Amino acid sequence: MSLLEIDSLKVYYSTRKGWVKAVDGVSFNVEKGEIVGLAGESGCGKSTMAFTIMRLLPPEGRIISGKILFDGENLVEKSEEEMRKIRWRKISMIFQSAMNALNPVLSIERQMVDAIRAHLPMTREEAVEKAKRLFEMVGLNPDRIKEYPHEFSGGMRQRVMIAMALAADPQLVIADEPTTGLDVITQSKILRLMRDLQKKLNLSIMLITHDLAVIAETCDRVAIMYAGKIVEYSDVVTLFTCPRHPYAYMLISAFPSIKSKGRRLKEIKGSPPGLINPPPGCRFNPRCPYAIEKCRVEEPPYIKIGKGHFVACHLAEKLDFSIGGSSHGW
Amino acid sequence: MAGEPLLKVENLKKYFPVRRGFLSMLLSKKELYVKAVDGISFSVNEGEIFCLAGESGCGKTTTARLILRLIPPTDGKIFYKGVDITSLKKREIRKVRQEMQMIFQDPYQSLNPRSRVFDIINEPLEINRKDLDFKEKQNLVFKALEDVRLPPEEYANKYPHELSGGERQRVAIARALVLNPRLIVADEPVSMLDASIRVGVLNLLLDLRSKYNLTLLYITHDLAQVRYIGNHLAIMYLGKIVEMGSVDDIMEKPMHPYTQALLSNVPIPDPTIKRRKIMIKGEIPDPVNLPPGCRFHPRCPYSQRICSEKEPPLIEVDKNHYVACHFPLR
Repeated sequence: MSLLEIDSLKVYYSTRKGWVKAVDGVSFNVEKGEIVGLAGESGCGKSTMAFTIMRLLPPEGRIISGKILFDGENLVEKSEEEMRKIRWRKISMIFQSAMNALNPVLSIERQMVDAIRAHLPMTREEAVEKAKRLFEMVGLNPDRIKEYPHEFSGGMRQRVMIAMALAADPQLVIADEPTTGLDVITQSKILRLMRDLQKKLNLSIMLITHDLAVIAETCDRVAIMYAGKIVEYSDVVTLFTCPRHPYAYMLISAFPSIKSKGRRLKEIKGSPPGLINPPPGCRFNPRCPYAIEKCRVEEPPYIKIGKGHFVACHLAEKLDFSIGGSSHGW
Repeated sequence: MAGEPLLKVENLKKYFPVRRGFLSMLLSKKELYVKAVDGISFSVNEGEIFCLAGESGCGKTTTARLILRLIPPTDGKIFYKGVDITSLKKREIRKVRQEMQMIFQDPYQSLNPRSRVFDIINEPLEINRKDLDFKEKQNLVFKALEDVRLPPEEYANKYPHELSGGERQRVAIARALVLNPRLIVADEPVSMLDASIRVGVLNLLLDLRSKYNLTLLYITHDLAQVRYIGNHLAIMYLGKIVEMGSVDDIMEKPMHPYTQALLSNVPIPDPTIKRRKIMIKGEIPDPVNLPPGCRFHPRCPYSQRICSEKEPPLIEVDKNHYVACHFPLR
C-alpha cells in the first residue's frame, strides 16, 4: 500500500465568474521513503494539491470528488478535528517564504517551543531540549536558538522551517517551492539537507516546484501537471530522457542548462488556458503541435504505458521523444 | 575586440551610507557604508550580450542603475561611445539615455495598468521625439510591436491586465526599442516568467540583437540563462568582479574558487548527469563589515595566509580570461 494515494481528485474554487477547476481529476501516489516531485507552471494546480492534502484550502476552495488515502485512511472524510491531529504529526508542510512564516518579534526558540507544545504533550524544558536537537539535526548551531529571525539568513530560516516541520516525526512532508528565492549555493545545501533527512528518517517527501532542474536532481519520481491535470507521471530518468507527453517533452526542451550550448531552444507558443472554461478535449491541444482532431473533442484518458509510467495523451503510443545523450543537451 | 567598446566602466564604486540609530551615532563617529559596488571595470563591445551574474547582494543591479545614471556613482567613470557620462549635465544625460534603455524584472509592475499598450510604447516618443507627427509616431509604435512579435492590430488597444506575463514583457521590450537604442540594460527580464514562455523572450532578445546589432547588458542570477544567451560574462561577489571572460571559457574552465563552486551547484535538468558539488562553508558575509583581503577567503576551500591580507587584483590569466584570485585554479 502506498503511503499517499490520490484518486480522481477534483478541487474547484468558487468565484463570481464560475468554478475554477484548479485540480480536475488527479491520481497519483507517493510510496514510503521516496521523493516525488510535482512540477508545472504557475496556475497549474500544484499548490492547490498541497493545500488540499493538508486541508488548508481557502473558504472558496472545495473538494468536489475523489479520495486522498493516507496510510489507508481517506482524508477527505475526516472532520476538521481529526485533520488537526494528522496535520503536522503525520503530514507536515514547508512553505516557500521562510521570511514570512516566522514571527519577527519572537525568538526562534520561543516559536519552536510554542509550536512543539501546541501539538505534543511536553513540558517547557522538554520542548526546549527537543528544539535544540532539531536545530542540530538541520545543521544549525543550537547556541543560536535564542536569536531572532532577522539575525538568520534566508537559508538558515528555511532550515528552521524544516526543523519545525520535522518536530513531530511526520511520515510525509509536503515542500512547496522550498528553495525558490534562495541563492544557488544555499538552494543546493537545503536540497541536500532534505535528501539526507529523507534517507535518515525514511521520510516521504512531495516536492512542489516549477524548477525542473531541481526535480531532476532531487526526486525519485515526478508528475508533470498542466491546467489542473497530471499529463505524465514516471521515474525521473524516464521522464527526462523519453517523455511521452508533448507538453512534458516541450517543457523539458525549453529549459536552458549550463551544460548545453549552442542549440536554439523552442518556446511553447501561447499560454495556459483559463480554468473556468478549459478547452474541450485535451487541455493542451491549442498549444500542441501534434494535436489531431480527436485531441480537440475527446479528453485523453490517463493510462499506464509502462512500469510506473502514466500518460494522458491520445498519441502517447505513437510519439517518441527520446531526448538524446546527457551532456550535449536537448 | 576591434575598435572602441560601446560601454566602458572604470573603477566604478557605489557606497550607500548605513542609516544608524541615535545611540550608535553618539558612541561612534565612524560612518558606515554598504559597499554595493566597489571598484569594478569592464567593457562591452557593440553587438554583444554581456552578462553580469552573481548571487543576491553582489551589486549587479546597482551596477545597472549606475550605468543608466539612475543613481550617481561614488567614484569611477562610465564611458559611453568614448564620452564620460558621469560628468554630463542633466540635459546631456537625457540625450544619451535615449540610446540606453532598460527592461525590468517585473512586467506586472513596470507597465502602467491604466494605459493602453499603444500609449505605453508611445510615451518615450512623446517625451523625446517632439519633432515627429502622430502618423510617424504611430508607425514607430507599430514597428516596435511587430519587432516583439505582437501583431499591432490585435495588441495596440489592449490594457496590461489583458496580457499574459510573457506578452507584458514583450510590451516592455517594445517600449525599450521604440527610441531605437544602441544599448539595452536588462535586469532579470525573464526571471518572473514561466519556463515555457521564458525561452520565447530569450529568443526574441537574441533575434533583436542580430537584427539591429543591439548591445545588451544582461543581469541575472541564473547561469543557465547566461549560457544560453551570453557572449561575455562577469561574475560578481560582494561588489567585486571575481572572474570575467567569454561565457564558454568561464563555464568550461572556471578559475576562481567561487565561480567553480557556484557552477557546480547550479542544478541541471538531466537526472542522468551526476556531478560532484563543491560545498563551500557559510553564507555571503555582511556587506558592511567586509572581510579583509580577498572577500571570498573566509569561505574559500583553498584560502592561504595572503588571501586574508592582500586583496587580489583582477588580472588576465588566460587570453581574455580575467580572475581576481591569488591562486587561480587551472
